[in-house]
Amino acid sequence: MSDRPGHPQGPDRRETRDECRALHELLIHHRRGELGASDAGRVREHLEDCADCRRFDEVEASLDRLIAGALAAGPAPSGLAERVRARLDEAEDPRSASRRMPGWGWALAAVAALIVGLFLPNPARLLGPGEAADRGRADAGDLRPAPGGVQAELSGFLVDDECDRAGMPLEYQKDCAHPSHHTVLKTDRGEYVALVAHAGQPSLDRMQRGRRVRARGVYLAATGTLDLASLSFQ
Amino acid sequence: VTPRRGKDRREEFESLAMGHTDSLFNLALRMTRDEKDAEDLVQETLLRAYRFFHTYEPGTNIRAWLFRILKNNFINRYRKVQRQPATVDFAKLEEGFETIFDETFRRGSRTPEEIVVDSSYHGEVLEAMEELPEDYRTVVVLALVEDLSYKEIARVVGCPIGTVMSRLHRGRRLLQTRLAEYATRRGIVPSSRAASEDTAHHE
Repeated sequence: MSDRPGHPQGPDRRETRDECRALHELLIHHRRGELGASDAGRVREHLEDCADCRRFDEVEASLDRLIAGALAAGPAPSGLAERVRARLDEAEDPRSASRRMPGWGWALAAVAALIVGLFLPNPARLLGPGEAADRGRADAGDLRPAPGGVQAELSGFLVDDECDRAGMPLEYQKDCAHPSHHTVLKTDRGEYVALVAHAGQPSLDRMQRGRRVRARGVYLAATGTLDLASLSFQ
Repeated sequence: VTPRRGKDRREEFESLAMGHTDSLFNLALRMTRDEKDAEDLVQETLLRAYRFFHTYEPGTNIRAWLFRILKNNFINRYRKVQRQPATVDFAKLEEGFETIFDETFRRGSRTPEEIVVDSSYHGEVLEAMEELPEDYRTVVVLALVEDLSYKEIARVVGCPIGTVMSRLHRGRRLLQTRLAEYATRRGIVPSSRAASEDTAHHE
């Protein structure tokens, strides 16, 4: 290794400085192992040869540690995790009720379903039994108590939950590949229901957005999920 | 894959996701710059994550998955009403960077290794973060604090890897420059430069 203590003086100086500057931009990516083989090789060669850039690299690494230390996660406010757990418990309430009291758990679930159906506004509202009869089979919601929720039959379109809420027309929603947008059922009443598919059932992907479906399964109002028993495309 | 149901699902969520509440809150705080908003954002994120837990692919990075949901919730709920900081002139910053960095840290009277353990610099980092746009703050936290790969960061923020690299580079340049300026103010510079700065301040 032919070590160079600093930048050369004279005509080569500016050229070398430019080379070093260009290299400085790559150093963090090099330290993180994110450079391709050829760039990584170039950086390694230069560092072997240039004491100034080696020092720059060390200094930058120290400052990055300082920045990381300053921005490191302190504890979240006390009780935040507990508040989340309480809301998850609420979401699971019908399920735990039916487990603890199998004898009259279903009746409790039925009452809960009626309350959900008749009083609560979106997004938890499903069709009440009376309304279902009025509206006929085509878009009927059917509520029956079931272990862990209520039996429901829902009709509507598969949509991108985020894009649809933002008002994007249905025909364009299959083009959205954003990884945290989900394909959900938008019922004819306008609720967004997450469909939980099981082995052997058609999996939902974005290319199915825009299709009309009828979904049957166990609906959990608090989480807005339908544990699918069957899904048919119409 | 058969989705987990009931108690199993809750237990798995508890063991995989709930332990990341601190990290989620930290990122939410850097994004929203408000404790109450950050707390609301974390609650919404974890509830949404639980709702869509069946879409989480076991074995993949759960933190990256949670951050993605958090980022998405942030865009939907807070970004429109967020006060964005004034635009940073990154080109100008880059221009003066090498000189100030060189004079302060490479030829300064204290080594950066000593500065790292000096927690009085932490406040300076937090203040400098306020100058950065939200996209830059997010990338800096995900890379330097959470140590996510560029590919994972790109998926969280929904942009190409090249954009991640440039935001990280520019975001750090601003933070490094402010740290150098702070070190200069505290006199951690060569005596010749400190003297001339001192004279300038008193004029």
